[in-house]
Amino acid sequence: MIEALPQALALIFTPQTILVGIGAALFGLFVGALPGLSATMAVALLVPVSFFLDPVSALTAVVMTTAMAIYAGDIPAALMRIPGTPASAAYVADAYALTKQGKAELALGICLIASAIGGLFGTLVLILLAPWLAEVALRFSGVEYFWLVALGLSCAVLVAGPDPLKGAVGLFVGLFIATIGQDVTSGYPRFTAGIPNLLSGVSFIPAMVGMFAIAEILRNLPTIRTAAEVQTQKLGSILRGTGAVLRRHPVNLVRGNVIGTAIGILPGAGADIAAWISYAVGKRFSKAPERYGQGSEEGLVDAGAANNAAIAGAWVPALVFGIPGDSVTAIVIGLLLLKGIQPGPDIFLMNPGQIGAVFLAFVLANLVMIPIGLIAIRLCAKVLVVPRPVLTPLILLFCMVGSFAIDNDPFALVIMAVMGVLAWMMEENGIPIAPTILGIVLGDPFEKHFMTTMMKGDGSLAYFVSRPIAAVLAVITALVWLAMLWALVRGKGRAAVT
Amino acid sequence: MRLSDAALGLVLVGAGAAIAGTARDFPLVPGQAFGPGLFPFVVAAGLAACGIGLIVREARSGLRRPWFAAGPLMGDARARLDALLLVAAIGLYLVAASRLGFVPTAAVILLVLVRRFGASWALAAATALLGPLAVYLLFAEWLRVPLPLGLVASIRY
Repeated sequence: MIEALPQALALIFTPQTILVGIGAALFGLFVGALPGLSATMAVALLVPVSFFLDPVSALTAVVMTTAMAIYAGDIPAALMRIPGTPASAAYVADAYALTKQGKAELALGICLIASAIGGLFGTLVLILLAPWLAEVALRFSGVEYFWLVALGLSCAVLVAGPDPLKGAVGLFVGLFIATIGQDVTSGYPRFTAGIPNLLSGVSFIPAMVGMFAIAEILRNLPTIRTAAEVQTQKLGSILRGTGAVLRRHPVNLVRGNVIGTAIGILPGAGADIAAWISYAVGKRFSKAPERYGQGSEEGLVDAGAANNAAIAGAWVPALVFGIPGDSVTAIVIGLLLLKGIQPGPDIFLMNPGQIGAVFLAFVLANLVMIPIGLIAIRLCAKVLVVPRPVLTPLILLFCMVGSFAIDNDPFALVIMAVMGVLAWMMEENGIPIAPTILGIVLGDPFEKHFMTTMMKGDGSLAYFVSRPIAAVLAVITALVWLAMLWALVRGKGRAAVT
Repeated sequence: MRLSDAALGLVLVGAGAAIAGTARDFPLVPGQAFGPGLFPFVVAAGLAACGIGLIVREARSGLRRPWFAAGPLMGDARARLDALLLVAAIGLYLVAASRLGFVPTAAVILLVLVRRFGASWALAAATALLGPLAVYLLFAEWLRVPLPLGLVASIRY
């Protein structure tokens, strides 16, 4: 990988990429800091623009935006008791409690430095693990890929939320959406209702914009007229005392990094779940668990590092197998496919420079996060008062133009609206969106590997486990489903008792 | 709009049946016993299985939840109208943008929605004036997306 460094440097240090990167960083900070707008929504809004850029600029923009947005979500958490993105929700009580105690600087400082360290750790794992896994993956055939995708989709259901049954519903909805259009093996049009625009399938970017932006707008409508209260105490030196806190809790920092990266790598779970799990584990092993929720510095270190570590972790399966680790990388895979780049082990051989540039973008994003974050903390009291009645219609306009821009097809607006309403209804009923996104992205390759394996085996299911690696992957997938069934049966018993 | 698990289960079983029914008519791959309908059939079976699981689970806990509840958006008359206006704005854009052009259509949408969501007339007018121009500059001038010119076309050309 190291020999690709000069090429990667040349790709990333172009005027356009640098400008795009700075713009994306500011955009990510803005969206992340505004409550109700998530990092995934930031990326979904960014895609129509980055579609027109070269691949390295586009990926740099996505990396910068996510890293900044996940950090910036901590700012309103500390100042308003409202998480800027769901990834900051786990420790919002602690951050705000510290602000109430007059230690807003400390809360914001811990979050910033822990975020940067977490992000760098996740990046390091990505750089070391991904090329190695890619070499292993080069030996895989269609059967192994089928099981790999099956395992990824199963993990997405398992980790999606408290209710695996509804997670499975989310997955099947996504897989069904992926079947719309001409089928992958024979080109037969399926479920198109005679609409020619659907022959090539549900257009991906309008669908993402709908599911992440339109659905979030709908969800926030009931509170659009209520302005939140911002703590506007005078902030002193942000970084004073931060180093001492981090040195006092090295275990939390390392554990947060490791948990965050691992959760990020698991398909379907991203920064928000990483933060919750790291926070819960931290509380479980803390000497002062009673402080969690009351302004625990430890809790901030645990979860603040984990959510940023997860961002880079999610890129490992996305780049190596084309299986997204979270919703953001699902959008990234869609973007890469639109640009004619097939994510998978081959890109490490074919485009080492581009992969190196992505790694560099991650390192840079987490380094510039500190100075930009410090400025953002100073400015954000002003940003947070941008009136939502103005912002929401502007976002809607941006969504409409952005969806249209991809294929210059007005039908994209219909897809955007339908998918937006669908995603909103699913979330209202407790059906998680992440498995659906994975189903949409992975539906086509999943069916293709499934059908080709069926044909190779002449319809015999035994062919699916005929190769050793495939058999191992099949057993692991079966175990994941058994674990879910077990949880379901036990949960059912409990529900019957209460 | 919140359905109880049992109601959601019924919807899913219905959806699964509809998908399976449609997929049954798909042709077979020559020389094989299956075709493009196989995968949708598996998905339909999955949806129906989840639906049955939800119904059974709710039935075991005694079907105490109401089948249908309005939820925060549909339960609040003002928010409901907001949502309708939002969807109507997308419809208006679809119908009117090609005839009126992007900038006037976007201006109308922004003016109505910003005012409706509680901002002052002055703020709404300013947003309606500047917002479409900014989006037009970004997409049409910089990214070369052919946004509809509509009425402007007759003046510009």
